[in-house]
Formats: sequence, structure tokens, C-alpha cells
Amino acid sequence: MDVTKLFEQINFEGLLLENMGVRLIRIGIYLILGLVLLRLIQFLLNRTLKSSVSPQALMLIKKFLNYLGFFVILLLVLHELDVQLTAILGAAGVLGLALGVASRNSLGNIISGLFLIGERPFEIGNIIQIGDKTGVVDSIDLLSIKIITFSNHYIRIPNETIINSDVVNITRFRIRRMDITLTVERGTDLNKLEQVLRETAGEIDYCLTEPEPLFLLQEITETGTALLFGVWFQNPYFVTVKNELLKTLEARFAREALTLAVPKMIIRQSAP
Amino acid sequence: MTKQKTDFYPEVWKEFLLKDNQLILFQFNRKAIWLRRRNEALYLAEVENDNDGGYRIIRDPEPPGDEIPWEQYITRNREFRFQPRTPDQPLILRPLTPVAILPEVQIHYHVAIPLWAGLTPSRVRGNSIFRDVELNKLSHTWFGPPSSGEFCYFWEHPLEAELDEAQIEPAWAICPLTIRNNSKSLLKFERFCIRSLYLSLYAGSQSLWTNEVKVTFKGAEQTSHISFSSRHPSTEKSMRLLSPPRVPPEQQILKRSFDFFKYFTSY
Repeated sequence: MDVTKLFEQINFEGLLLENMGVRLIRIGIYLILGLVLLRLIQFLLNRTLKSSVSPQALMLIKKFLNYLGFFVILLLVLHELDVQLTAILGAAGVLGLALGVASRNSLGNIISGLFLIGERPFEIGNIIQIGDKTGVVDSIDLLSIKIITFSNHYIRIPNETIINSDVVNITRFRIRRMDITLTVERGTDLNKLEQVLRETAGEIDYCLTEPEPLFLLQEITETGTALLFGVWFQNPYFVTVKNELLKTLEARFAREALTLAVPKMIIRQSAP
Repeated sequence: MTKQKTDFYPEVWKEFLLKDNQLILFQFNRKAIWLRRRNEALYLAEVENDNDGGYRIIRDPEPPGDEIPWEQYITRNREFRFQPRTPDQPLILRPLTPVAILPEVQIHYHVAIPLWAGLTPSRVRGNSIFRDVELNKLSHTWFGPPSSGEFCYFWEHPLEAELDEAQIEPAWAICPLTIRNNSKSLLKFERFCIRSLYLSLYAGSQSLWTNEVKVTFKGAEQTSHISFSSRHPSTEKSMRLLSPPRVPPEQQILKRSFDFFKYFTSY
């Protein structure tokens, strides 16, 4: 867009001749009132919609209204400066097309963002895993989402990346299962082992009685017997449950003389 | 109830005075609650016992060791009481032997409900409980499918038709429960969920009672109708209301009460 053409549109002569002070005051009023009104709208939206829409939808509605509000204020100011709006809108249309072609990646992210809002695979506050990144969803915006990792890193992930990736929502439901894989020595009394594991899970406060812990024998190898023990727990207590469970298992194994298998390699040498 | 228990109930739910620097111990079998008053502060410590310690109230006992976890509450009140309360989550019970109720048949139970003790200053209107103490050791559990169930407590005491009076503990209340099978199929269940948040507590002559609960089963695909009576059970002529429900019940509640589906929790 040609900026000089925009300047040509502004009727500076008119401004000088026609009570410039009054116009400037009017522009000032539009700006101040407009900004105050926008703030008020944001506040009212927060109060009325907070409980009925998701946080990300509310964020998008507020941003949309904000941009719309700024655009309306800009139009009022330009009108006050006697700028021909039809020409600007026409130029803006051409500009929009040019920008759209040039920023098709951003457009892709915006469209992906709209799909994400519709699908709602996660919400603000959920813990998600995308590839090798795990963190708490901080915001879901038009172009990207932002997550905060547990080491307090702030990561911006484009929406298109999310749409094209596997996303694991770890805290979608209020409970989940923690799986521990163990390999015990061949010859271990597996009934006793199961009893020990279940009793240990029962001693941990945040482990749930039901669903019952999973005890699954996976395979018998030369090294030992591999098994999976899974306990169900309340979502916020992952660290507590894991630490308590492993500490208690360690102590209990020692007490019951249960031994984990150590990888072995048997080398047989034949006589020359 | 044994003599020890009869001395304890109903004394435990009455007002008590805590003078400056005085120590009181409330022994609820496996849970001990220590209270001490000093310089306009109330100190409370909750200690679990591994062994059955019986039910006693001891004024000016031997001071406990330093390792017990004291909590401090700033208050000028000197008179307090423990208000009995129902659990803050639903309870899951299992019948002693598998139960199957035929269509159009009902069964009556007396269910032991584990209690909480809410500490409140005396002579204060409204809900002034500032500390809730769990008197029985309950484990956390989940009722329903892993993706859409609810948190509950698992109560070890089985679901039985009659409670032996000698077995009733002062840290329990008795809930008269009726389960009616109004469906055309057999009601066979392994777990039952009792909505304890909607129960009121009344003082009987020997123990605490809740209001009567009636659960009507309409089929496995539908939620059960649960209704709570608005007065004390008919076992005694009059009973004083000690505690309103944590959540006031609506006339009829539609909630899942029986669990008989095997949900996929293992592959």
C-alpha cells in the first residue's frame, strides 16, 4: 500500500482552516473513550462468560473484540481527519490478499488454531506431551499454544505442529495409572511377589483401592521374569506416589528377600 | 456397647472447657486428638495409632512427645465441642457375600458410617467448624469408569443386613438403608456407593444414627433413585439432630449406586 496516497487523503488544509483544536480534542476523546470502553467490555466478558466458556475460547473472544475495537477507533480517527475510507478499505483488501499469500504459514496456524478450539484435545491447565516436550498448557492462541515445562521453560508451539502431531493429554482425566516394570530372578515365588506388591500399593495414601492395581506377568527370559505392576492414583500426586511406592518397595523387597534380576551373560568355552 | 464405650458416648459430642495450659486427649480407638490451650491459641495434634487404643477422654494426661505435629489456631474461645460429621466423599461398601436381589424385592440394611469430628467453638451460630478430623482410616478409591467416575472412600466394614450392637463403635453412625429392585432383571452387585454427603446425624440413646436412605434400582442402564428421609429413623421415639448434611439433598437424587460392570483398566 502506498503511504503517500494515505497522506494525500488527509485534508491538512481542512484541518488548519477548520478549528483544528476541536478536531484534535474529538480525536483525543475517541481514543480515550474507546480504550476505556474496550477495557470495560473485557471486564464484563470476564465476569459473564468465565463460567460458561472455556478459558481459551474466552481469550480468543476477548482478543477478537479488542482488535475489532481498535479497528473501529482507527476508522473514527481517520474519519475525523477527513480521510476517504472507501479508498483505504479498497487498498486494505488488496493488501490483505498480498499479506495472505505471503503469510500462508501463519494462515495455516490460524486455521489449525480454530480446529483445535473446536476439537478441544486439551485445555489451559492440562499437562500435555508433544514429541519430547512436556508441560502445562499456559495459553491457546490463534497462531500457537504456549506451554510451561516443569523446569519453568516457556515453549511456543505452532498450532499446525500440534494438528500434525500426536498429543498426549496426561491430565485429561482425574486418575491415571503409573506403570512400573520389574524383572525378578527366576525361581521367585510369584504369588508372594504379587501379594507384596499389592500390600505395598495399599499402604500408599494416594494410591486408589479401585481400580485395582494391575499385576501382569509379561515374559520369562533367561535373566528372569519380567512383569508390569500398575497402580492407579489421583492425578496431582504423581511425584508423591512414585517416590513413596519405590521407597516402600525397596524396603519391602529387602525384608522379604525378593531380588531383582541382574542381566547375565553365560559364556561357554569348548575345549580345544 | 462395652462400658468403656458407654462412658465415651455421648460425652464426646458435648461441650468442653479448655483452660489455659490445659491438655486434653480424645482417644478414638486408632485416632488420638490432642488439644492444648496457651496464650489465646488453641493447639491441636492428630496422631494415628497402630493398635486399638479404645475410646477415652483424658483431662491433663501425660504430655505427649515433641515429635507430634501440632497445629496452632488463634482464638479467644475457651469452650469447644466436636461436632460429628459424615464423610466428605461418598463411601463404597462391598457386601460380605455376593448379593442378588430379585425383581420387585427389597432388602434392609444397617450400614456403619465412619465419622469425622469437626472442631468448633461452642455457642457460635452457623457453620463454624475450623478443623475436620477423620476418625477412621479410609482408603481412597474410584467409583465408575476411569474416564468418568468419581472419588470415593473405600470402607472396609462390609455391607450387612444387621449390625451387632456390640460391634458398633462410637466413631460410627448407623444408617438404615433400603435397596429396592424395581427393574425386571436380577440386581446383582459387587459394590455399593452410599452418598454420605446427604446424611444428617441424630443422637440415639446408644449411638449416632443417620436419616433413612432408600435406593430404587431401575435397571443397569439407568441411574438409581435415591431418597433421604427428612427426619430421624424410627428405631427410637425421639432423637436430637446433631449435624445437618454436608450437602442438603434434593427430594430425589439420580446417581449411580451400583457397580457391576468390569471396566477396562488392564490390557
